[in-house]
Amino acid sequence: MNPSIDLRLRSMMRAITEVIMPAVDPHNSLAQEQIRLLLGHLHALSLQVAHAPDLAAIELNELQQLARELLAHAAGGPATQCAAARVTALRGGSDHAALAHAVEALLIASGEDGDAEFKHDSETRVLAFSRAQALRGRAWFKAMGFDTSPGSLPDIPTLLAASDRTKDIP
Amino acid sequence: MTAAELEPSIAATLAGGATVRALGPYALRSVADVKTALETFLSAEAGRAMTVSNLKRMGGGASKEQFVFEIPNAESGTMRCVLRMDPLEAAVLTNREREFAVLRAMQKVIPVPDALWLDSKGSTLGRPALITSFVPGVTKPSNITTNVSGFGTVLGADLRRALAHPFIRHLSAIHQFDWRRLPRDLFQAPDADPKQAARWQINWWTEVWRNDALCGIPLMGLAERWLREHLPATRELVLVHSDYRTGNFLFDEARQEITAVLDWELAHIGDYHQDLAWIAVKAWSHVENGVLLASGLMPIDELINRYQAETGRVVDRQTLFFYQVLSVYQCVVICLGTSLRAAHEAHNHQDALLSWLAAAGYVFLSDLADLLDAGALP
Repeated sequence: MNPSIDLRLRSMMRAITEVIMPAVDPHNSLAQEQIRLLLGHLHALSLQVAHAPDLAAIELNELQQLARELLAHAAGGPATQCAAARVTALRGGSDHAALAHAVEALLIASGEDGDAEFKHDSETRVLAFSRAQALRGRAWFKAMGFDTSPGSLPDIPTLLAASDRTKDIP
Repeated sequence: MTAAELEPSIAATLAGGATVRALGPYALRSVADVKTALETFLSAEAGRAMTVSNLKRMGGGASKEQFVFEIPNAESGTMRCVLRMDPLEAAVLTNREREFAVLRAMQKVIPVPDALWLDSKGSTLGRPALITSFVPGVTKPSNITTNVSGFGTVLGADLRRALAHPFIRHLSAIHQFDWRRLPRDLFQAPDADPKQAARWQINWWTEVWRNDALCGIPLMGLAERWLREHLPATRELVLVHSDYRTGNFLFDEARQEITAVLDWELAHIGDYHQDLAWIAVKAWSHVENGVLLASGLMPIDELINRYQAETGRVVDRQTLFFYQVLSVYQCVVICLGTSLRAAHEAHNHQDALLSWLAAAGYVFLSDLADLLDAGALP
């Protein structure tokens, strides 16, 4: 639909750069910093917006896959079993945040009474999941300049094309 | 978790934070309103009419609302001061009364801003606030561009050589300070058993994560499990600054001297390894010739050697590793937990900065995975 989101974002950036920024008091350091942040956010958004639905789908799919793997091996006492039941109830749904909270709670509960084998197995699986999750986040937000090795990160289309987690864990 | 496992003052601060969660958006105060409130407050404190001039907002920081202003001074004509005021929520939830008390305690110990006045409840200034003297200096070389909150600061070789020694010497003085002189109602010591210091820290930051995280993160669950299973015994309790790093001290560029150590809001009584681990967090360090320079100042081995030589304390590598994991866990909490939550609730005066800072959380997640991989279960 025109005007496209990309066009509108670029228009806003130009207005900020050419009209608003010169009008802001150069001695107002908070306002100057906020203007630069707005420009930075808009630039990052312009790189992300077309890919946001794909990223959300990949993130949910990866989390559901991790939940299935953990449930297949979850074993332990009442705390672990109760937390696993919560993951079971949420694993097929679309509430990413709730499922992520439940998986996190399962890992914490396993510290109380999880079987040693499950703890070892879950560590391997969560680390593999987390490396992929962190890489996606770092690449997604590369334009914001926090990464210490940005040159090693893929651009967003490349990231999404190669985003399936390597299924090398039995 | 029982209440006894968290420092009581921290527990009270966190409980206070819960009461503001339901409030509506934070309204940015106008400079004129702040000036009026400041003059009312200072006049009451001084017992005579006080006039505030050249009041300006300060940029930078990711936590408190800050202003610089001038007041009349008998000796020098005018005195520049800094107002640090709580928004409803910020990158970290802390207590101005504690910050004021530790700043007062550090006067004459190391260079810090003078802690001048406190409005602990915000009864006159509108929000809890403290006022300090303004200390000249910079947090980064003026000829470089950095990201927010000191990320990406690179110090040149000359500056590193000049600042490394005072950086260690001031840290040593903080750790040498007799924490028993701090007000007991504000600072409690984790001295019930040797592992209480580490346990209090874990309980503090895991509670903040649970209070603030908008979305769970499996790695945070794994990290919490690891931390609870690897609690170190503390050899000696010290005053921990808890945010001691490049970006949180001011220095004079020409004289190449540290002029003030800032950002005391997280200070507590704990394990000296915690400050060493924090100094070496990768985000405010940088790699030169393949070597990580902790806080951009010196390699980690040199940091440890200098600290041991300066203080006579032993740095235990396993304890240091525990606090490295905790430090990065804490960074994820600050970025992807509290900062995002504050922006989500519109409870800060600079939500755009906090939602920007949150993106750094994925760099910390990557570092956390690396650390947990290195410290994998036997």
